[in-house]
Amino acid sequence: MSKIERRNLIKGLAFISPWLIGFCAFTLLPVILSFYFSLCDYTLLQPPVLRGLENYRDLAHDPVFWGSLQVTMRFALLALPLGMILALALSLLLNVKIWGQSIYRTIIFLPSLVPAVALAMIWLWLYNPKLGLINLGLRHLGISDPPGWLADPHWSLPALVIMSLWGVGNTVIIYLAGLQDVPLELYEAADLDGAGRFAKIFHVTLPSISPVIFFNLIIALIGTVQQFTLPFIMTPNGQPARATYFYTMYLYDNAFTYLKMGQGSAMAWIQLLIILTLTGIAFWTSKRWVYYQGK
Amino acid sequence: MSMASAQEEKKRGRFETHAALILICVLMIVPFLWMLSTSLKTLDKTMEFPPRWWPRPIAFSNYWYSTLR
Repeated sequence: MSKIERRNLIKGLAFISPWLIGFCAFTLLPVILSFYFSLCDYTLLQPPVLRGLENYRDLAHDPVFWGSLQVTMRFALLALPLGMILALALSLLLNVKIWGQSIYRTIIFLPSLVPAVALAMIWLWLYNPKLGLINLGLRHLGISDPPGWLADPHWSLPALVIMSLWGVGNTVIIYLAGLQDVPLELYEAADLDGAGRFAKIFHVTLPSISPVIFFNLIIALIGTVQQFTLPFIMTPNGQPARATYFYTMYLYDNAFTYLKMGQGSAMAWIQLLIILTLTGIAFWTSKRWVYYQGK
Repeated sequence: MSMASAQEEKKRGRFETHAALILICVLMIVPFLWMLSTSLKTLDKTMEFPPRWWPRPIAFSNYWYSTLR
């Protein structure tokens, strides 16, 4: 490295130093420390004591850990496919050139602007078994015994899934952007070949936006596995009967309620491994169904 | 396929798109309008049963309270 190059490097680093220092102090260091803590007995009140893999071994024998993992996985299995399909279907509908397109687009995106806590408050109200708007509507439709939603262990998780679908607008926007890039000549060719509406969707549109679908799948995968804020506010302690006690809620309780920072950190690292594995599987399958134009 | 039936199919497709979008948009906007309606109610009126869409009286006090205080 010449003298000028070195001087340029130092200048460059100096310019990005506000970000660099912030990143190292508030992201990199905590990440490294959390791995160290996951190997320790650490109550936050006394200095950490190295214990090896004990935290991980304890978690493997902890029924609450497996229960919370199951809740998160069940939520993901419901919310992920439903959200993906709804967002894709909506963006296809919103891409049709019809009167009022911008009005429809605005209404679909509107809920995404509501902050998480406000969203939780509205839906707590709507889901109220006796006074809530949803059950009132269901009774009007002739269902005399509507579900208790968040008060019923069988319905609380589906209720959270339905609520998550309300925020589908963000994903729809990304799909819509992708749909604008589908080459028109492919549709013209399909028209000439006499392809119908659905043939065009399955043989032109979906393959053309498959990179966008893949992107949304990865983002949604990470988001659903990390689901925390809404159940934490709406169903404290996973009420009723721990039916909505998400993985992240147990992680939070371990770290900050029971002051077992070591075990909390271990859970965080296990979660990272789970997300890495799932995204790894998604990447592996993507070779078969994601098509990049120009390659 | 003749020209006329292609036109007809296009029209039907448009109608179906409108129908699907209107249904979903109504479902999407109800919670939002409910938030708006509740924000204009006094505290005792928020618990009213059966719930009212149009607050009576329309109270802006929540907005004054949360911005000016």
